[in-house]
Amino acid sequence: MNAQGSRRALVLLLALAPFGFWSCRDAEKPAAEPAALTAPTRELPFTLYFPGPDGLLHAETRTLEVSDPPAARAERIIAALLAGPEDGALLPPFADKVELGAATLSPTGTIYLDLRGSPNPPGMGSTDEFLTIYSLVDTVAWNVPEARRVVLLWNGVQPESLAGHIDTARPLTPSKERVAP
Amino acid sequence: MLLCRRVLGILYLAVALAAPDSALAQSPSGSATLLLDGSERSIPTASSATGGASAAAPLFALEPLAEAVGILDRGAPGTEARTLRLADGSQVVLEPGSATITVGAEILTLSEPARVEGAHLFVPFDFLQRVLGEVGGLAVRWDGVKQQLVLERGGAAPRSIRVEQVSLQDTTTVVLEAAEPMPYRIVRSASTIEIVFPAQRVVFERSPVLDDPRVVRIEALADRLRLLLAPSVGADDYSLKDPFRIVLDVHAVVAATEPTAPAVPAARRPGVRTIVLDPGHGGTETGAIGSRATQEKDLTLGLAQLVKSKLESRVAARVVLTRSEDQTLALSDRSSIANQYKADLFVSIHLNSSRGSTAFGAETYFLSVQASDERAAAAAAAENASPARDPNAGPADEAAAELELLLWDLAQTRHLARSQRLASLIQEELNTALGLRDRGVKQAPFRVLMGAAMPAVLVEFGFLSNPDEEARLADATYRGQLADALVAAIARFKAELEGHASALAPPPEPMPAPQPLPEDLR
Repeated sequence: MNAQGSRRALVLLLALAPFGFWSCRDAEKPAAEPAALTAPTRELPFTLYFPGPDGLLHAETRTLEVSDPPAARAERIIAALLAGPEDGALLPPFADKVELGAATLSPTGTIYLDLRGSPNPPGMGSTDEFLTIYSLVDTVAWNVPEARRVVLLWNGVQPESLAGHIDTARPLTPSKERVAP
Repeated sequence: MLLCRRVLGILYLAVALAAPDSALAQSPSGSATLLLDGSERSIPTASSATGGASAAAPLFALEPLAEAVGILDRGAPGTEARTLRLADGSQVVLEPGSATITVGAEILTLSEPARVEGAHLFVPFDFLQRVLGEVGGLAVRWDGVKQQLVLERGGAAPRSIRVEQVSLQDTTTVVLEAAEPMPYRIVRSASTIEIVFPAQRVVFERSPVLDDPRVVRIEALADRLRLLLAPSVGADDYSLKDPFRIVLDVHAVVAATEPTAPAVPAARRPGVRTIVLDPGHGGTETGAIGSRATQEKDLTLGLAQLVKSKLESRVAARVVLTRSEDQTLALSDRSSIANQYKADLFVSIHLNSSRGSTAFGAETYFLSVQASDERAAAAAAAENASPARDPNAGPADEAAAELELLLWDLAQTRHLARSQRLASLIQEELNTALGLRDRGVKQAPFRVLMGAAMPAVLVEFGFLSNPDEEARLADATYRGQLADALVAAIARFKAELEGHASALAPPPEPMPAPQPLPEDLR
């Protein structure tokens, strides 16, 4: 192979590398993403909304290191929300352990938050359910402008309601109704 | 093709033009440029009597316009009234000095009267919009800066309007949905109702229409949708935002009766004949759990059975429970049960919880269906304006799901006022009888209320998360008082709806023994 042929092979290899990675990502998730494919991150302030014992949502400002893609930003923000508040007087959205499986943003602005937890969503009253749902919806919608509507999934399935009250069968829009002044 | 036919219809219009001789002494006050089919011509104008900026549209001479678009001038000497006869036999009649015109059976009011000046009859701009635009399918536009009147045959892109129809109980709901708000008006006759989009080109996208007892046929015309109604049927109309929808609720109307005639209504009278009580949760879904392990699903079942017993003895109505045992029941099935029973009232019974253990008191909800803040509304509007659908969902499935949700939303939307009234009465009774902390009437997007095609509320009788309130809820006497309060509220609601003082059948009676609760609550 002459020098020109080598250059062509190198160009072809570089061009196909992302596709190769993309096609294999579901089959075998790499232990760590190649540095070249990791989006740059930066620290930004965000407002997270945590349930309070007064039946309202309370804002807590955090500085988080996030990357630019909206879905990745949402994943980072929701992960911080699920981890719980720094203010000991506030509460995490769920009493039990719940994690975010993935956040997927559609081109039309609907973000899908796949929550992972016990086989069935935890039982709770309507006040708790309202605060749980809107802590998630408000936090992602107010911090990620690209996410205009939020669909909640539980273990990959969209339930008609998380705990038997609030409708989650359709996309939700943010509400300041129960945000503490 | 449809547009072409409408435009060609203009060619068959007959115009009766008869200007009185006395008016010929006056002369028009100016001129504008008429742009039609790429050609320009001058058209006389007259000042608008309403004044305004120079850019505001003047009045336009009708005759050169009629000639330009192919309207024949047959004239009608001896009268000032002008008649445009349409190809389908209907007429447009206008009279100098009057702002009222008739278009077929419709009576319209113009922004100002047509008037004669010189040799011409001058008509205001909205006349052109309504007649040339609405009837002729022309896009009509006024450029005040250039002083140009622009008429375009098929120049404006048609706006798409989606039409859906569903029958629920005694109402057929027809929904017209557009991507953005559109001016429209409703034209009614004895057997039809039309939704007219004046001066706009519209294309109706219709789903297959099922046999319907109230809507005989739906006709999509160039500028309007016409519903042919069955006898003794009427329609209420209203519009909704985000997305823009025009909604027609078609239902039987009560026939007007002579004072001496027997009072035999043509439609079902408003009233409360069937009440569906919904004990919240059940089966694998426990609902809230108190600190003493009280499960919401058990309390709601016991309370619902108690309320049923009291209602049946004190109110003349059939009472149905959505579940009578500990079983899992989907939320949508609960409202479906109410719909299947043609219930007049739906009450879902719940106990609340808050991780702050101090919360206590009762609250009653009715459905919220609107975006609740400005950003949400703006987001919804932006979303609605977007032509693209979510590519992650199957287009047909997503559209069907959206339609289903939309229509069920509307089913409850019709009853929001009465739902709110019932919620208020329940709160009043709970507060008065029990001195509970009034947490008030609230709105929330509760799934169980969405599909209910009748007044529907959700009652939270108290907080299981509050140890004191949990203890009270374990007391049979207290539960009996809660049930009494709910029965009293329903009786008041029934009485209001039926127009008499009280719906409580017998006078107050000794409280029946409360129904036994599950063992774990004793």
